[in-house]
Amino acid sequence: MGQIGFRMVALLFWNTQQGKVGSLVPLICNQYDVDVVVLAEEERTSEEIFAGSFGSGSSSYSEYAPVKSKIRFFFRNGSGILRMVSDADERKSIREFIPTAGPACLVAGAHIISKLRTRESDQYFAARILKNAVEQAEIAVGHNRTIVIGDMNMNPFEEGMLAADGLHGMMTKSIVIKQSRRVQGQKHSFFYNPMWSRLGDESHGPAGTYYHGPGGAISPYWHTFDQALLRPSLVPAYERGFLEVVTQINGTDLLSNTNFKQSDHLPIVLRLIF
Amino acid sequence: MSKSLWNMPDSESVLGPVQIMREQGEILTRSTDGKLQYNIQTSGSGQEIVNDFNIVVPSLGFYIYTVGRYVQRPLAIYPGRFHSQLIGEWKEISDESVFRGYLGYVLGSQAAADLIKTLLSQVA
Repeated sequence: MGQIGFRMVALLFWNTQQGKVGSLVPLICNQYDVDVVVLAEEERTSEEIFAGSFGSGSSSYSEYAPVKSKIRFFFRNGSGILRMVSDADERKSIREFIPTAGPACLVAGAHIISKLRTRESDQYFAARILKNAVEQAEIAVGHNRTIVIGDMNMNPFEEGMLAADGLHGMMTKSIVIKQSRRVQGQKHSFFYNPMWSRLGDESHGPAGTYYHGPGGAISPYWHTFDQALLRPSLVPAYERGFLEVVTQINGTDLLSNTNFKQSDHLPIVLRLIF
Repeated sequence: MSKSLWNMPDSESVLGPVQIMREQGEILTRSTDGKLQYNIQTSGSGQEIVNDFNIVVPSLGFYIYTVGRYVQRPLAIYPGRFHSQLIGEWKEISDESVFRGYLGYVLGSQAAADLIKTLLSQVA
């Protein structure tokens, strides 16, 4: 899959909605040669998730669960190791992926509280907590090759995702390579958010990752809640199209109806090349 | 030397959640011979101050587990609200005795015991 001399790392995130996705997780892993799997709302055992869906020669996966968390991490056996870094709360877990070749990366898995059960200001609050936890983790491990991935329950243009004291996710690499900006005297580091380029009809792939019909005066119908953000240090490892909103898995069409029969969220796969 | 015009409170009488969490952190560090340490991380933005009570495990690459989070207004230690992922819900805190009681409930829970056991079992 990768070029000779280069190492491709692939991460999958999916809110699997209490296991409604059946045996699709191992199939998508196989399809994209996934190294690290991050799942939200998944309550099945590791054996149930990955049960007997691989053919001969396919990869096997192990769960890494040193402490109890609602964000669950799995890794492809032989691809590297995961280690604990921090658990800010049950919806935000940070691990370090140390691949067998290539640099280690921080992976912050998140599932921010839903708009259906809380206010937007609470989501902004949660984004600030996540940002602080990421910065603490970067100090603890001594690098900032950080990926934030998860179900943010916010679109890229909402305050928690965009504000300087939130996740500060910018839409272009040219801005992000400036590393940070000062707001009212305080320095705030950027993230690059490739999901900006996955909004609407003319984007690559579907219009979003989650469909919810209008409930009020303002409704875009499609939402891009499932996102992956990169620190500037990882931008050189990201090439155009390396973030994919998956709609087809081994012949199964995830968009066969707008309520997404398998899960109400579409999976995303992020690839980086080192 | 100028005479102080401040009506300064007796510092011993001001015992807020941060001091109480610090006391419990010291006890944890002592009882695990330093294998498990702690810090209190304070951050804030806008209308609220957030105080995180973290367990830190130096031998696990300074792994941080946030045991509890106390959120307060900048100019009042109480009332506030406390959340622990070990219990999974917010608790309204009206005063010191409620905070002590609830923190005791969290730290004395089976979930906290399981967490300490899990972390210690991974410490070299």
